[in-house]
Amino acid sequence: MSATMLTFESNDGVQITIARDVAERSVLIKNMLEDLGDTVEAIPIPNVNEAVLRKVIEWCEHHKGDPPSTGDDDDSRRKTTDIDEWDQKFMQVDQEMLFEIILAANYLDIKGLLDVGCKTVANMIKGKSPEEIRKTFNIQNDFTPEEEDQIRRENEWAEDR
Amino acid sequence: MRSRDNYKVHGAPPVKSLLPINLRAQHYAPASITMPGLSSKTGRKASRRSRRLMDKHSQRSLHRHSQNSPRALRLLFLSELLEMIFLYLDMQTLLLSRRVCHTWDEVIQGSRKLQQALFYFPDTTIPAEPGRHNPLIIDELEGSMICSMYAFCSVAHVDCFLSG
Repeated sequence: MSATMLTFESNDGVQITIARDVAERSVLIKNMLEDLGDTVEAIPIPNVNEAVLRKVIEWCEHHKGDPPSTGDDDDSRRKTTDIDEWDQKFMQVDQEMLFEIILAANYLDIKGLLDVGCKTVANMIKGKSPEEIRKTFNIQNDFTPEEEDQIRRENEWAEDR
Repeated sequence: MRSRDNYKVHGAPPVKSLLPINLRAQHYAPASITMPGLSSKTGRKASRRSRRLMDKHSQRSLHRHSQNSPRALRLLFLSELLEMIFLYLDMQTLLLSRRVCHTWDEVIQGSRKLQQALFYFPDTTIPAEPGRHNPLIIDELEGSMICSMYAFCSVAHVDCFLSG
């Protein structure tokens, strides 16, 4: 019999107990449990703090009934950035939390959450000029004016529309 | 039910960090970029993804930026995550994004998938029929279709005339 509840410990030392089927939305955890067998000890999640872990768990609980991801779906194809309403609300967090959620989803291998996170960031980029993008994410422009101009010229045919 | 009662919390919950961002950045600053799960047997998929694109430049940029950005902002300099985000962009925004910073430019130029999305690299995974057309070029063509039809015809005529 496999345990129905599992305990995880965030990197700031807080233990959280959740149902196994919720935890198994994470492919990393799922594989780990298969490798480890049953464990009664708290499983450390070294890269994720409590606040982020709680958000991730909230998402996993809401989506626990979703069909498992089809695995390697072809991601070279242009993809839609539509996000369902619950997920949109869920992603209304500050930028730092949004990025932390994406990093955690990547680490824990939760494809659905990773996709929603990436779509949210993509929607923040869409339709903006390079300067607006830098401003939005507080990115430093590390191009020389000549370098920037070079790229602008390369893309001139497509930029002014 | 998705209430908080579904999971129990043991131990005192830590106070949410109220440190100013610059202090927090220091606290968070990663020593190096490590892709979690890389060494683990359980992170097979993640490791396959991350092998693809980690480059020295993104680490350099990270260093440059980590001074005044919170730890989470390293996301914007991790090539494999950037690629995933960029795959959701339309072509025009993707082309514009090259001008944001060196790291973004290198990710876009260095990613086979993104180059395929931009029609700079043939996409062999799609069947020949019905095919996929570059929307920017279609736009361009439609705009000037009528005059260029005539232009093309007359040029073709001249060509025929010259070669004949």
